[in-house]
Amino acid sequence: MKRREFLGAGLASLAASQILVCLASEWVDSTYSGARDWRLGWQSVATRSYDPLRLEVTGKIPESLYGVLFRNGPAKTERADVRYRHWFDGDGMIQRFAISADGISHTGRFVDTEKFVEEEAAGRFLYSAAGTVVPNGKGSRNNDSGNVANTALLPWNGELLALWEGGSAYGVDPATLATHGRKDWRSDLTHMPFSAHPLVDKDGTLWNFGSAPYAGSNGAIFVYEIAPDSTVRNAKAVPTPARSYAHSFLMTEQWLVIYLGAHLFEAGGDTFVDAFQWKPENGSHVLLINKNDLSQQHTIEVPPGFVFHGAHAFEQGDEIVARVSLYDDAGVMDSGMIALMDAEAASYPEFSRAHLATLRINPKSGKASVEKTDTLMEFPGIDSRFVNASTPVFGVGHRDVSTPTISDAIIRVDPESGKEQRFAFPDHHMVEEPLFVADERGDSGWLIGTYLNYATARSGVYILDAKHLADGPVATAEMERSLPLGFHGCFVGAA
Amino acid sequence: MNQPRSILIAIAASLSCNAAIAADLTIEVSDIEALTGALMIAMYDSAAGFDDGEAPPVKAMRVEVDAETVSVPLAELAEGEYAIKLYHDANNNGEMDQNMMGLPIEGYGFSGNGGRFGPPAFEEAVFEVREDTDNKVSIELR
Repeated sequence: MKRREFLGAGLASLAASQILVCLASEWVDSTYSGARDWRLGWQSVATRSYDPLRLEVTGKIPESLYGVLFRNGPAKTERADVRYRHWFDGDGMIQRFAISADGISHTGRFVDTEKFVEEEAAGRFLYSAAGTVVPNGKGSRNNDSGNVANTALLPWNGELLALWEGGSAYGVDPATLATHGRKDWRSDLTHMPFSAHPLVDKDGTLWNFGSAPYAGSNGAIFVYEIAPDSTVRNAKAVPTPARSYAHSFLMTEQWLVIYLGAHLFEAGGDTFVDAFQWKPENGSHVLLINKNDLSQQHTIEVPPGFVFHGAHAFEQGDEIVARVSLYDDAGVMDSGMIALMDAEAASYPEFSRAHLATLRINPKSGKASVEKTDTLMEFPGIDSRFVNASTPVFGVGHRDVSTPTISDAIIRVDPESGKEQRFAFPDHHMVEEPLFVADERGDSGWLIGTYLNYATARSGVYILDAKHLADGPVATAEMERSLPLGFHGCFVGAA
Repeated sequence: MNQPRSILIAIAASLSCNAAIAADLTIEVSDIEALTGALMIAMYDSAAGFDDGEAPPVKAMRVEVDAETVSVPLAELAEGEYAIKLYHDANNNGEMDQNMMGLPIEGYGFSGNGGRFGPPAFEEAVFEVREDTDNKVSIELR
């Protein structure tokens, strides 16, 4: 790979002549202060941290959920007169819900990335974001110049990893949320892309990849295998068949499974997001990488589609079966997540939604099939103790599936029977990723997540019985504080 | 600052004689992240040298870093056009360290502060040095 090629695309240093930033000063006050509509979910947090605040609990919190629910998401979306234009852009803030017999208490704190600290001191955005060119910005030094650490969290070696995808993870103290610093893993992995969705194997190995669609002639994936003591066992560049956007991956006993969407990085966009073009004629691909021999790879074409997240994957005979949230196109990323940030939008934006789908991939024959269900679902997850064909999948969906707008339902699908359960929240609630927490009772557990009631400007925590969603929450807890919607979180038991 | 010998010689030379066709230049390097190691500066007077490495630099300097902004005075330069490329050898290993993608992980910069889409060409990085002028070039590290 030539360095020029990398620098050309990777640094997202962009034509200053085409500044696509909303000037926010006019509506910040008028729209969000006291806003009682869905746009509250995309508000900008002014404070650097939240002091502890107790939630009002309704119902009984199961003891299995004593511990901490962490959430990460973009929360600083405005500085000075500039508002970011894409949901990917905002600086990451970690929300911490401490759960005990005494109830639930919330604190929160921004991740002190180098970008955040420098911009906080400057009082304005200095670095262009994934989807926004900022006026009078500074040139990017490397892939971490625009690192907002805003996407996901993983408990790792006593720290929380605050994860982005374009650059490094950050280590954060799980008790205080103080930022320890950037995780370089190894000197030659400094400032490398590191996806927000690493997976921990049964033996404690941390697997992840970094997507560099701008690298080389057709893009590359960097695969990382990291031992439980954080030493790097393997790091390998894997060429990809096209410059695809890739957000997460799945893992079986033997394989890493990476969905490469038909959303391709083309030179010339003003921002990293804008550089991608939907190219259905190119098809999508599934990249399989053998965990025991990273040089053993298979690339199998599948019909054009787009995927942010998968629930799980497993091996069945000669096939690898993967359950994913599959979009028909990339509208969610290239326009939906921009429209959601638009404070002047007349109504909740329309964009294509993900269906729960099953991919069957046969590396021997090089063939694959896609079975798309009718269930609209994002942020899919499972009870990871049981990974097989009948493992139920949990996720976020919609009460009204004929005209889906806000995400207001939690769904469980039993894939083999097709049986579906859902709990739809009351009006004005927007719900976020459910996390499965096992219960000592045996084969089931609880779903825990957060929500925002934009009519009351209160954020809260829901707890559902994973086997009986339709019964409604066993407990909810709310506070006189509204948080912007985030992306992903994790639960750490009290142990 | 522990000045490299070449600069000391240049300064000494400028003090000892009033050369008729010689000019002074100050290179100011800012945005240095770590106060360790040294700036490795190469100055060229041709595209062949700057772009293609087919001619040696007219000046090659190692300047210890002791502040976020470092000024490097040069004297006795011939009038003409020059371009500078530099990197910050923060760990003193004599190399511009790179990651697996080939991206520099130590600071680097160019005269003209271009090069956002790869190293700039000589034409983009060029600046003039003239006699009887306070010649100065400011480079922001990236």
